[in-house]
Amino acid sequence: MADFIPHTPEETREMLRFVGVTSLEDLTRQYPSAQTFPELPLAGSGMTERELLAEMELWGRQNSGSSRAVVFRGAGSYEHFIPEAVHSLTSRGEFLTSYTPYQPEASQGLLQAIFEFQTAISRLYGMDLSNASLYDGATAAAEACLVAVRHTGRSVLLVSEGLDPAVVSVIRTYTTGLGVSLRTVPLSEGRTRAEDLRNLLSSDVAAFIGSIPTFWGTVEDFSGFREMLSGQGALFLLHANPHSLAILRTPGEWGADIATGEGQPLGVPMSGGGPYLGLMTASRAFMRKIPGRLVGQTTDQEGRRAYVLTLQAREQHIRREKANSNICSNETLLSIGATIYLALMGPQGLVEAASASHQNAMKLKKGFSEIPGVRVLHEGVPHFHEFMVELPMDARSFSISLLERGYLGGLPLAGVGRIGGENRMLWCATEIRTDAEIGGVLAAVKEILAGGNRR
Amino acid sequence: MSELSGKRESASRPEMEPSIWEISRPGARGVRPVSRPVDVTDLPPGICRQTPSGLPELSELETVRHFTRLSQLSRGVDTHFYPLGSCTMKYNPKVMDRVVSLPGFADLHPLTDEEGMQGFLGALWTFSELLKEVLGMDAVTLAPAAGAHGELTGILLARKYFESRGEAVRTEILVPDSAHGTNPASAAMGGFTVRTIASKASGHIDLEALSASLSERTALVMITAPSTLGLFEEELSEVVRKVKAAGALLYMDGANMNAFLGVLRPGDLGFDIVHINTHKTLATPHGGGGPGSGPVGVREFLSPFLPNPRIVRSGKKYSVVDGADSIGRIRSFHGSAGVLLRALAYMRMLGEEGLKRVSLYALLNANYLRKKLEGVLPGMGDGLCTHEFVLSARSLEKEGVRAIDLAKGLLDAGYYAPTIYFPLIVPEALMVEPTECESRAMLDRFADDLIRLVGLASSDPARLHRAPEKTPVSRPDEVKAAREPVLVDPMAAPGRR
Repeated sequence: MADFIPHTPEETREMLRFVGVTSLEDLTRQYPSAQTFPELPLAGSGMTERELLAEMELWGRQNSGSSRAVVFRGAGSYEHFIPEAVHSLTSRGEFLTSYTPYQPEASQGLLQAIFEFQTAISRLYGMDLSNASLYDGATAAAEACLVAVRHTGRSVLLVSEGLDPAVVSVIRTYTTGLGVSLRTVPLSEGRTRAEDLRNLLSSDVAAFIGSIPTFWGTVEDFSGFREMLSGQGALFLLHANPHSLAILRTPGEWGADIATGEGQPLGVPMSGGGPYLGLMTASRAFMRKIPGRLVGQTTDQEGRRAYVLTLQAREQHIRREKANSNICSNETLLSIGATIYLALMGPQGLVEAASASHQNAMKLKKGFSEIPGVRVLHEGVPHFHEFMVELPMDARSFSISLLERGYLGGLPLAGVGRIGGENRMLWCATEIRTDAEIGGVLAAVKEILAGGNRR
Repeated sequence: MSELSGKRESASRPEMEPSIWEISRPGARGVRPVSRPVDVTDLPPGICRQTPSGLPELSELETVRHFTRLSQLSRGVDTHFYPLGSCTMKYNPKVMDRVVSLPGFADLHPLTDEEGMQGFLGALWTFSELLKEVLGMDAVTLAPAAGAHGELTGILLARKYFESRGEAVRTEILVPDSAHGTNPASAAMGGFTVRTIASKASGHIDLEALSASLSERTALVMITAPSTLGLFEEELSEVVRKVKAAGALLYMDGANMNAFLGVLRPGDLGFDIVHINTHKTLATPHGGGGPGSGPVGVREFLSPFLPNPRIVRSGKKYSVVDGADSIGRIRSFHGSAGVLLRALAYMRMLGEEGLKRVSLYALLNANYLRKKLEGVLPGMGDGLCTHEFVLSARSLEKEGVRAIDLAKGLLDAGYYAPTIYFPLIVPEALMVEPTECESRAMLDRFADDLIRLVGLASSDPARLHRAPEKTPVSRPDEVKAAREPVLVDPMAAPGRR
């Protein structure tokens, strides 16, 4: 049994005497006595470090087959190369065990790291500024929608069918109760047709939100969108994968007002889905409207460069119910990890990784297009590192068969939006996949298809 | 002991670190992600990036040194006593760092087929069972990413519940004026109108003010227990009775759960919804602002509305399901597993006896330190305090000394500072939370230093106004920061090389 309490029995006795109580239990006399000290049979009798690790290893081992599997699945969480230095540096106690930097003089390193994160992310997205992070990509997109609703005073959001359905679901959860309605802008062969957007635009539209790349893997051409939207007084929001922005046209270059993203591809392990890293960038016009912490550069009393949390008049601890969000904790440690990741990769390394992801995915896609009975969807449209295929069989059982062969294959898309379907899968390859792995999974696919639905 | 006592010495400050763009050298490389660089030629130029990203260029060693130095310019629980009230800055056991990096966890894709993630689902399911037990609740969601996210979840649950009963007229949420700012902000985000209930001079809830605000429009009453003053609400059972009689739900902000852990359960007290902060009570590291996590416990009648996706067990198999009446998703995936597994491991390691000792020693340390400081600065409440206490530095105003000056003096004395200017109902507040993890020697040292600093208020107030003198910078110009915001490094201007 451990409890991380440093007191010796003698110290405990003396301290109790000093406080003027007779026992530790006596300290709870301020609580309703009928309800104190419930029995907690599930809590057990405690463990040593070794016993704990043995138990946790046992849980882990029940997943380890799949975690050792070769990953060809993305759909919002991606396996990328993470340099060892990221974990090593974010494990430093001054970063790991500190709270939000309320005392700037004792938190300058932390504040500077967040400032460098804001700078790196705003540059990557081609936007004027970035906040210090939000919970995950989906909540960042939802918060961006809320900014648009508040800014325009309008109540309709046009949501691209290219957006991850999980992200759309979170936007719906966040806007419910606020009288906001969501309308879907359909994709046609993996891309938005300008006339579809034009037909849905009206004077009650707060914003359109699109995705780079789309959830289905395609890359859209947003030329003319900015003009069309601002002509109607609506904001242009883009939700972008930061890994892709090393080579794809950025939200800033498309003219977005606010751009969000899931920062997990920037050095954050998949970890079963969290904690992840919500990114929010914006043009300067929205500086005082976006939610979340912001670190600013200023000077101290003697003119030294110094960093502080700033523009706090937007935040809950000052404005309470009039704040522009309730967010307090964010994902600072992961944002520091992302900054370290980006610094280690550098501009060239990031381009190399994104290019290799794209090339590996295209190799895999070509392999699929050569398998009889398999149809690659959206052929002829540019893709980044994911793409859809349609199989001649149920994708879920197909996925289990692949897992048994050591591959976490594409995501089965049964029930996933209008574009999904029981026989459809969303495949992904990142920069870490090798030619041998790509060849291996294609061989496994052929083998399963040849065997029909046996498993 | 104190570096502030004795003769005046000139400020000796550690040097600041240059910005990463100042040490960036064009052409320098850190790590190489691929062995053979590839050229992308198949994408149409119109959809490709037009301008360079402007990321910094450094060697791996330069990067390691830069971030190591930045860490050295900050303080954490690992380096300093961190009495930040309401934040429960306890020791974060190192073994938990190992737990989350075990094979099968860190490298697990969240959309792995159920068959391939039984251990992961089983561990999270087990954690929610443990939380149900210590919270005295019937169901738990692990999805919320932080305390405020848990609040929003609880508020959306209440909305959905009343809608399901045809009581959509309940559009108001009542919040005491001593509450964390997240409470009213979450209520507004959920589409509710906020009504603030004034506290009594003692800091407790004013039952008359509560009664006057309760109506058929009240959906939810949010109470922080114990209160942000570190006091147990003396008339809590009466509050519960009144809220239930009005047909409203009762929410407990469990930010201060370290005072109750293993000893008192929100469910037994009559709360319908509660969130806890694992990064406070359950020892998960806060990482300089996050990640946190804010699991929410509810009574049975609210469980149909919990967020999707949910983990359920039937027989020995765990599955991921969506509930038809759910409020929907509140994030992309299951939850902050890398945080939740640490919290689970902490509870497993402590066991029933250890959990109980946590809150008892948190109470002991807070009451001991409070008594050591008795008569130095006035506090709130007269009997025992819970896991933290609030002092007011208002009496020093005549010397021109404020709570912030004491806080900065404490930084020079080798601590992090208490929470200041919160709760808002106490003028010049200093909120001190020692946690169970600090030794008596540390508490004695801290008390001596704070007493000496209060003495300086009359003997040498200028010294306090100059503080901190040993940190990398003196007090930053916050007005300038807000008036002319510089939010990105000017050295990283687009196109600059």
